[in-house]
Amino acid sequence: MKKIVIASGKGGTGKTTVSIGLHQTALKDLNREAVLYDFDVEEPNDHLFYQELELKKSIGLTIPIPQIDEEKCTFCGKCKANCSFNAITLIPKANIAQVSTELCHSCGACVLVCKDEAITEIHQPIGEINEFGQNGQILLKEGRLEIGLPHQTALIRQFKKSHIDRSKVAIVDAPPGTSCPVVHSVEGADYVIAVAEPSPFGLNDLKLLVEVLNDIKLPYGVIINKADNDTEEMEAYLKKQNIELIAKIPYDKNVAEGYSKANKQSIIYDNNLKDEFLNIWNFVAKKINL
Amino acid sequence: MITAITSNANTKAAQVDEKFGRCAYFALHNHATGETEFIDNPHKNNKGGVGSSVVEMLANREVTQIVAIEFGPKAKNLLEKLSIQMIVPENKQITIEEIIAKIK
Repeated sequence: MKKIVIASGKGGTGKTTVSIGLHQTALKDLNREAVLYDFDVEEPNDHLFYQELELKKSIGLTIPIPQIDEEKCTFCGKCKANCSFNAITLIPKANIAQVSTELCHSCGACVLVCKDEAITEIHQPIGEINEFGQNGQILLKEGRLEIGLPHQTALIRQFKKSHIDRSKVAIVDAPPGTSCPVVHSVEGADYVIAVAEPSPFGLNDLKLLVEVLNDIKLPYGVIINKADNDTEEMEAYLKKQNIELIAKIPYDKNVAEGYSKANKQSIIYDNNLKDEFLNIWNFVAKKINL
Repeated sequence: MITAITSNANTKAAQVDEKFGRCAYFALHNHATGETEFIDNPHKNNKGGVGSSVVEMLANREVTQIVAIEFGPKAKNLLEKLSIQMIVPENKQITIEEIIAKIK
């Protein structure tokens, strides 16, 4: 089944609103099977909109981190020479041979090249995948990074590899920005929806995201959200770059209020956004044969 | 005993470099011979782990004392383990020559 990723260069543009809108449209209005995935692993909060669901399963994730046995190590330096991330420190006279867990990318190269069998990998917990559902159906999965750890990308990679239900439409709420976690979130998508807001900041950050999406050669279109301001400049930019405008969602204070209370009913149905999301769904469906 | 001083150029008239891991040069003052050698910092443009790499290099050169404006957390940790003394000059604009005179 297809995977749609909702991304934005800037935070707070409406990724979650669009993700939830499409998810509900699929489930309720189109009777389609769809799962929402919250990839914003540093601050997963989509579950707040789904109070009716129960936490069904929590799966711990770990990454292998090498540990060097200083008794066995002969300080030959091969591990250090093969580490692309400068994660290994060797000081023979003080018998120090250590790996920085913050810098290590768990590539395993040091284990392979060690001739002294001094390096073993331990499994360090980095976070969890939480699955929420009802009536025997999982409808939402979130990745949750352990606070303070720098392993967003590692967590997202495992999330993508082993926890996506391929039999259903996947709607992925990506983290904001343009760095590694975002790149890994959008990679492999059948279609990316870039959500932007018509402000100088919104346009600047949209341009950054567009650079990323062009670079990875992904099909994408843009939704201009909170479109009450002047959207001319942003639309001129899209036209010049030959980027498709999927939709303009008008600014509505009531929608913002619904959002502030994590009330998806209010966001989508009480404030007439139902048709907007149906149109967005149809637009994307046409593009990728949803 | 060897003292390492972060330096923004490779002469004694240079000032102590405000960065530790990414300083331009290290002045290595050998207390036994009284000589000062300047070495290029090979790690200054590394992506990450600069502090640890620099400490490793200096420790393997038998440095027992380092003068710098600031030390990062990873470097500090290692330096404490190695019992290498960290010295922070009060005057941030002090030259290498003046520091050597003070630590003699």
